[in-house]
Amino acid sequence: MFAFIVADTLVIATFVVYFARWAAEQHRLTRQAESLQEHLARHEAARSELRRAA
Amino acid sequence: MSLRNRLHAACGLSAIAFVAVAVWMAACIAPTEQSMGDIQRVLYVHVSVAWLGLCGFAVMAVSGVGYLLTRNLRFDHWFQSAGELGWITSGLTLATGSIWAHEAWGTWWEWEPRLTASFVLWLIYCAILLVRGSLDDPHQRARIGGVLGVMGAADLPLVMMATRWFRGMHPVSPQMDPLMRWTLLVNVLAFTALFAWLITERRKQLRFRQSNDDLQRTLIGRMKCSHS
Repeated sequence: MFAFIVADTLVIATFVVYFARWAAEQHRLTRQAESLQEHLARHEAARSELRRAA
Repeated sequence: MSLRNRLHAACGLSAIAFVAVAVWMAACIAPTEQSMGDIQRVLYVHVSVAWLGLCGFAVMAVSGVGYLLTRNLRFDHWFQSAGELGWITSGLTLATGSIWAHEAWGTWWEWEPRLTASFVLWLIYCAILLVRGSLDDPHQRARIGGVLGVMGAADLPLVMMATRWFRGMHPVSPQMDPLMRWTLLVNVLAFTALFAWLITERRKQLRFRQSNDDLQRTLIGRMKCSHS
């Protein structure tokens, strides 16, 4: 029974680690997308401000 | 959370619950095999991950052909996600098989046809992922990956038929108790459901990464324009 427990634990732990890495990457990409959108909006606002001033 | 995301989360939770039921059946419901004893229970998870290793490569080969025909990077996202998970399950096949072999044959490894073909499949996975990882251009990565995936698929029939074409030590579809057969079927289906869910989520993530890269390029382009 010990070998069965080792084999199943190995398989399940590998899937858990893969999922954890996926979740961390998803979090990073969400933050990156928010930051990029913010930068883009700020850049657009600055450009329209310049156009208005000109 | 949108309805679509909720549906994806529900699918994931169902797959996890299905795997829990499958493991419980393998540990508690399936009868103990008479000649091998409890070590035979490793077979349920071993066969499941071995099947997924082959499925991962088949998905890779099909999406590789899809990319080569259409030059659409969406196929490459399927290729990458199936490649990663196929590589993992192929490695787990070797590991769980070694655990079984150590108890059943008294050795961790034998260079017999099925084991050698499975090891070669894992090496092909490694080679494809390494080559892809070294390329920056997404289309070059997809093109070279697609060609290697299609060529590497030649190993699939060798892995599947090795026990029939060559004489070796690996067991060939042994006679099983109906309850054992059911347990095996439930395990294969449960791990396939988990695998399919993970591939889908990873593919979505790769698309998300690509849209972030596109947005970054747009931002850099606009900044360059306004500076000039």
